[in-house]
Amino acid sequence: MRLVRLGAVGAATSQAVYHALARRMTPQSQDTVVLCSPAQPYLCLGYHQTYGQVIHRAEAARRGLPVIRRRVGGGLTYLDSQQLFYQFVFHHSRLPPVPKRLYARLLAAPVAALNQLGCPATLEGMNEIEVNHRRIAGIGGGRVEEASVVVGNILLDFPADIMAALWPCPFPAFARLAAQALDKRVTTLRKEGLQASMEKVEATLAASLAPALGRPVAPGELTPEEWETVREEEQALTDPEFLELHGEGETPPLTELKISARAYIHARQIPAPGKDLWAALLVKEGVIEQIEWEPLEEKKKGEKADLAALTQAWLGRPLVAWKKEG
Amino acid sequence: MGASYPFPADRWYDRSTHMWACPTPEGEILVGIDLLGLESLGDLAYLTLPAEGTQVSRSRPAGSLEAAKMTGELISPVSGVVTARNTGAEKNPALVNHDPFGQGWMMKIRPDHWEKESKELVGGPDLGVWSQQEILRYKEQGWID
Repeated sequence: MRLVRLGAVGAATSQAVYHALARRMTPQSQDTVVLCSPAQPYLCLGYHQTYGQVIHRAEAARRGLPVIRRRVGGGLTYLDSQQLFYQFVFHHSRLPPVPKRLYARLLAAPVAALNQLGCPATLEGMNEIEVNHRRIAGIGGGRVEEASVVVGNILLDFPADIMAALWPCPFPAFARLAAQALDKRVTTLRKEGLQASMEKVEATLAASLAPALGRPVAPGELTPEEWETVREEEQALTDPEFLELHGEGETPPLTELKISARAYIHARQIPAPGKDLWAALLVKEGVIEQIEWEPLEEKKKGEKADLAALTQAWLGRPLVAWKKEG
Repeated sequence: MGASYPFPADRWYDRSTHMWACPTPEGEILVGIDLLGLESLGDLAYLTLPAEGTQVSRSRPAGSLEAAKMTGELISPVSGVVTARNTGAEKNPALVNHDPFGQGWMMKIRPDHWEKESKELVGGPDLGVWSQQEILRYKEQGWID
């Protein structure tokens, strides 16, 4: 197994490397682990996501964030220089075909590295790396031609407020709750009180690979031919047509947003005295944990919905009850 | 063994992908995925199917799917022209998990070489032995309980 440590690389390169290795994969190819860190911030769409449905285009443009689409799964990610980006590119025949087993084998290394760094990380919900029930990494994977790919990142720091501002939230209360929830449910090495440098995190993960995967690791570099394919992939993954793969233009705003393996935010509209209300619901393991209200147009002057009473009535109840009664 | 993983005998199965192919009275082939194939994927989050009129080839990608944040290729079990796709399953991929042999069908194909390609699939009298072996293999590998 080859370990390629690229250090800081451009946004498109950070995604193109594993696509290139996957494209060139044959049964005779070396399995490769790539470690790198994006030199500048960018957004990355999951393969099946629709651009306008998950990214606030104007906000992304205002911040000058490049957008890239990957060919593997998972949701929208914000990547920057405060994340160690790890990429497993193996021939599919050398990994279990079942995602649960595949994730367990490959993610054992980042989990071990985090523990060595002092974070009690565990693998939850098949593919979420968590520390005390808070996500510390984003994960995506897929079959790309003959390769099985799993990518993820270790967060040294993470700007939850910027990420939340980039979602096309349906109303301000939803955005507020999303930002709060993200900040609460996502942790970083810094939040855990660790001031580890990128070099230390990378070295710790590199040292965890052989024992976790049970295979020897040899340091290596990309060949000129592989770099050539990387350059092709950089073009392909940022091609405007590929970015708009599942539909162009604006799409209906979000009504559901995943925060972690257990926590989602749902948007619901309900009739109420005086005003119709939008509710942003933080739902943890199916139970409504927090509500933020967004009043709409007044139906009849003077009538007011008792938001405190509505909140008390719904907190702690299952979301399915809202679906029936709300 | 096998009670939880039925393999309806009215169709043929691809040994490597667990896609099924079911001839219709009109001479077309309905295509979907069996329960063991789904077990190895998990709950589908996305499904992308080829448009009507698309020429697909046996053992080649015809679409894509995603489960557990992992994308995969939808490999066609037969060659031919797509005459229909299940847009309901595209909008709600859970249909495939809930009813893989019924409402969770994926596409309909007017086959080019059914006579030849059906021989490369498993069906008829061979189905019982093969399906039992597959269930056993999945259990031995720890892919199913």
